[in-house]
Amino acid sequence: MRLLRRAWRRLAGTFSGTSRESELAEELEAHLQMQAAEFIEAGMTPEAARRAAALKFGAMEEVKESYREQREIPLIGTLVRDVRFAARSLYATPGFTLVAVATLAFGIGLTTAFFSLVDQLLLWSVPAREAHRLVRITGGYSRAYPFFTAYRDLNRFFDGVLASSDNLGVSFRPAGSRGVEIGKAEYVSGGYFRILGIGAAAGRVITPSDDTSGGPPAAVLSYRYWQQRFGGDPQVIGQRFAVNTYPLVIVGVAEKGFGGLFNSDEPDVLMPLAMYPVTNPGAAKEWKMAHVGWLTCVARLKPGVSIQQAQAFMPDLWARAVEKVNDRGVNLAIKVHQITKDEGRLVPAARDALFIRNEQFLDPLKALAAVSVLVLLLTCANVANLLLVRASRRWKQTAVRLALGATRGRLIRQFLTESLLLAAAGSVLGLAVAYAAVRSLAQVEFFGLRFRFHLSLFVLASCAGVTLLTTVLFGLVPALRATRIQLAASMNEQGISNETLSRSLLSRFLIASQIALSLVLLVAASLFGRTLRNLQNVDLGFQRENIAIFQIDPASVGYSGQRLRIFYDQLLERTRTLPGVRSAALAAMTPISNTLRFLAWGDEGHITLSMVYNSVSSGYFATLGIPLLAGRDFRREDEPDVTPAGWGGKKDASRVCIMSRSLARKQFGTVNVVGRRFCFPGEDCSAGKGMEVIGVVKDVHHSGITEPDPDATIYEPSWSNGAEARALAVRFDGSAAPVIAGIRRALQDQDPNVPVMHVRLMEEYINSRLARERLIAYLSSFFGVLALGLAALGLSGVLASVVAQRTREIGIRIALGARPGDVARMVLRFSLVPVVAGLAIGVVVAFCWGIFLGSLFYGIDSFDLVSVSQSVAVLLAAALLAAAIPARRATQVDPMVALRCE
Amino acid sequence: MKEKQDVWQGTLSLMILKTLDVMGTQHGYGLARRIEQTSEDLLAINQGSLYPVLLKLEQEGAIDSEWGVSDNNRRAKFYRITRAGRKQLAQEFRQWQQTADVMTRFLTLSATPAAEIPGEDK
Repeated sequence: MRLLRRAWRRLAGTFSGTSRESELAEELEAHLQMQAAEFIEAGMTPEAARRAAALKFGAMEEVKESYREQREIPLIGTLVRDVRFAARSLYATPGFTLVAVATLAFGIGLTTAFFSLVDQLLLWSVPAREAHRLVRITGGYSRAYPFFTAYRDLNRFFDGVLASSDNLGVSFRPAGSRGVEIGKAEYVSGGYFRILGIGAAAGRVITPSDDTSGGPPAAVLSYRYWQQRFGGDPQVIGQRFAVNTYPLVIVGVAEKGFGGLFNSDEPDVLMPLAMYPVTNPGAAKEWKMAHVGWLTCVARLKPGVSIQQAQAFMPDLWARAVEKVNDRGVNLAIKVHQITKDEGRLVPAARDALFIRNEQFLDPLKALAAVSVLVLLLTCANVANLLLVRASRRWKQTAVRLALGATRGRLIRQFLTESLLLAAAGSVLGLAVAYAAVRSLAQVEFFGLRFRFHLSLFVLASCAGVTLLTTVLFGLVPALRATRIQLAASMNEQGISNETLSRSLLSRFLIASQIALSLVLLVAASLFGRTLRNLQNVDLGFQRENIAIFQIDPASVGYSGQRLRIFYDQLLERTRTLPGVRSAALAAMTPISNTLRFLAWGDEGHITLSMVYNSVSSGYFATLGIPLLAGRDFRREDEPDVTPAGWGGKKDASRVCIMSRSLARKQFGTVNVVGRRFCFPGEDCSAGKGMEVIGVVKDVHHSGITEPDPDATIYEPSWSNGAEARALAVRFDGSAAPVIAGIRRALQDQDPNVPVMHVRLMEEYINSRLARERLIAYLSSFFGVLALGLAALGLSGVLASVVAQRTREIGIRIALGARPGDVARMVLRFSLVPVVAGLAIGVVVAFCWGIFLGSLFYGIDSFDLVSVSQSVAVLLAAALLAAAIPARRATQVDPMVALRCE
Repeated sequence: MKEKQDVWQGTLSLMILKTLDVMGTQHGYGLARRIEQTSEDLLAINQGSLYPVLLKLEQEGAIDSEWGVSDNNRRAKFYRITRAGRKQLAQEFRQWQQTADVMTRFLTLSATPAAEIPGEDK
C-alpha cells in the first residue's frame, strides 16, 4: 500500500513541471541561511559562516541529485526532460517545425487514409455465415433463371444454390401512404436466406415456400430501410406494401447489418423471385428465358469440399442443365461444348471482399496505396534533409555537449526524441488529413461505396506504426550523422570542411531520392491527367450536349399493353410541341446506361452473336445525334399496329430493323447491308420472311465509356416487343431547366401518379461517370505539384546551407579572381549529380509503377515517353530555379567580409 | 574524544518521524539541529542527507509539508507527521526494539556456554 502510494507519487512527480525544482532550491537555500545565521550569532564573519554552513550541509549537488532520483522514475524522467527540451528547441524555430510537421502530416495522413479504407474493406466481407464456403457461378447462361433452377435441382455437391437479382429500381406504396416512393428491390430465390445463414430481426425471412408461383406475396424489409422509413416499428409486419402497385405483405425484417448480397448497394426490400413477374408485368415472360441472364448465382460448398473438387463436377452439371433446359422446349439449341469454357466457373465469393465489384474496387485502392507510399517516402526524405541542415546549424552545440561528456547514445536519443515529437505532431494533423481524404473519396463515390472515416483500433495502430516508421526513416540517419564528430578536429576549423563534405554526400543522396520520387509522382500525374482527357474525348457515337433523359414508369401504377403505349406516345407528342425542345424520341434504352444483352443466331444457325437490343421511335437517332450511315430512319408506320403482349408475341412485330455498323460487319462482313435480311433463331426464315435491314447507324457506347469493343446493336421500331418501359430522350435548345419543368408539367397533366425514376442531363451524367478518374487525376496532380515543391524546397535548402558553410572558401576563390559565373557554376555543379541521378532512378521507378497501375490508364501506354519527357523537363526547370537562389547568393559573397567573419 | 558514528540506512527516517512526533511541526534545518542535539553530536550526518529521506516519507504519506514562516521570519518548508506516519512510527519503533533486543542479547550471551541456549525457550 505504502509502496503503491509512493510509486504513484513518483510517477506524478515525473511529469510535474519545473516549479518543484525551484522549490527544492529555495528550501535548501533557507536551510543554509538559517545555519549561517546561527554561526554569525556565534561570532563568525558572514563569509566564514556561509562556508561552514555549506560544509555542514554536505555536497549540495549530490543531495539534489539523489532528491531528484527519489522524486521521479529515472528513465521516464530523462525522457520527459528530452521531450521538454525538444519541444523548446522546436518552438524556437517555428518555420522549420511548421514545414516539417505539415510535410509529415501529408505522408502520414495519406497512409492512414489508405489503412482506414483497407480496414473497412476487411470488415466488409460477404454478409454471410462461413462465407469462405460460398462460391459464385459465373457465365452468361448461368445467370439465367432456367439454369439457376437446373443447378439448384441437379447438383449433388453443393449445400444449396441461391440466386439474386441486382438491385432494381421500383416504386413502393406502404400502407396508408398517399404517394409512391422510389426504392431499390432485390429479388431473391427461396433458399437465399437459409444458404447465406441470415435470420430475421423481426417477423420471418423468405423461405422456399414463398418462392413458388402462387406463393404468398411476401416482402422482407432491410433493417436499414425499416429503421429509416418506419422508425423500426414492429407493427409494420403484416401490413400491406405495394411494389409497382402490386399488393404485397411485409412478413419480416432481415437481421441488422445485412445489406444484401451487394454490399455497395443496399436494397430496401427483398422479395421472392416468384414476385418478379407480377411486380414487373412488362417483363413477365422475359425473366424466365434462358438467354436473359439477370441473376447472380451463388452456391454453398459442402463442408470439406474444396473449390477445385467442386469445379471438377461443373462440366457434368452444366451438360445436364443444358439438357434439362432444352427439354423444357425452350428450343435454344444451346450447344454443350461451345460454351462450357465460359460457363459454370466457380469463383470464391468471400475472398473478393467486395464480391462482384472487386475489380473496380481494387484499382483505385492500388493507386492510393502506391501514391501514399511514394508521398510517405518523399516526406521522409524531405524532413530528413531539413533535419540534416538543422543539425549542421547546431554543429557547435553538439560538439560542446560531447566535449562536456555527453555520451553519443544520449545525444542520439535526444535527436530521435525531437524527430518523434515532429512525427507525433504530424500524425495528429495526419489524422485530420486522413479524415478529409476519406471524406472526399466517399463524396465522389470513389468506389461506389459509402465509406466513412472511423477511428478503429486498427487505424490508430497503423497510424502510430507509420509514425514510428517515419521517425526511424527520417530521424535516424541525421541523428547518427550529427553525433559523429571528431572532437579534436571539430574544435579547430579544419574539421568542419571534412564533415561538410561527407554530410553533403548524404544530403545529395537524399536530394536524388526526392527528385526520383517527385519524377514518379509527376509522371503519374501526367498519365492520369491524360487518361482523363482521353476519356473525356472518347467518341461515344452520339452528341452528349443538350440531351435530357427522362426515365418514367407508368407500368408501376398499372399501365400495360395498349394503354401504356398510348401514354408514352401522348407524352412524346406533347413534349415535341414544348418550347425549347428541338426533338424528342422514345427508346427502350439510352446510351451509357445498363444494357440488356442477348444472344442471337445468324442465318446458318451456328454463328453466335452477342448484341445489344434496343427499340426506338422515329427521330431517336436525330435526337441523340447518332449519324445514320446508310438507309433511312424508322417511320411511324414501321411500328406495329397492334401492340404485342410481350416478348413472346413476335408474330405481329414489325419486320424492319436498323443495325449498328459493327453488327452489320459481324453479321454480314460488310456495312452495305441495307435491304438484306436477317433471322432470329427459331423463326421461319424462308424467302421474303425474316427481318429486313433498312438502315445502318454509327456504333454507340451503351454500357460504359471505356468498353473496348463497340456494342453490336440492333434497333427495332418502338413497341416491337410489346409495351415496355421507355425512356424519353429530349434534345433541347438553351437552358435545360425550363424544358424539364415543362415535361414534368405535361406528365402531371397526363397522370400525376406516374413516378419519375430519374431525369438525367447526358453531359452531366457522363461527367459523373468519370468522377473516379477525375478524382485520381486531380489527386495525382495535386501530389505531383506537392512533390515538385518539396523537392525544390529540399534542394534549395541544402544548397543554401552548403553555401553558408563554404562562405570562407568562396570568399577565397573570389579573392583569388574567380568570376561570379565560376562560383555559380560551382554551386550548380554540386546539385547536378544528384539531380541527374535522381532523374535516372525516377525513370526506372516510373516504368515499374506504370506497369503496376497499367489497368488504370486509358488510351496511353503505361510507359509513355511524352509524359516522362515532360515530367523530366519540368523537374529540371524546377531544380535549376531552386539552385539559382543559393547560387546567386554565393556570387554575392564579399571576400573581405567572408574572411573576416571566420 | 567521541567517535562519530555513521547513520544506518533506514534509521534516519525513524529519527525524523520520532522528532516530528515529539516536536510537532518543524522545518528541515530545525530537524537537522534537533537530531544533532539529541545524538549529542555522536552521529556524523550531513545535514543535506535529510532531504531525500523527507521526500521519501512524504511520498509514502507518513509526513505532510507546507510552506510557512520560521521564528526569524524566513520562508521555510515545514513538516508535520500524519496519522499514517504515527502508525508507521509505532511499528518501526517496535521493530527497532526487537532488533536491538535481539542484538543486545546476542552480543551479551556470546560469553555463556552454548549448552544453555535451549533453556532460553522456557
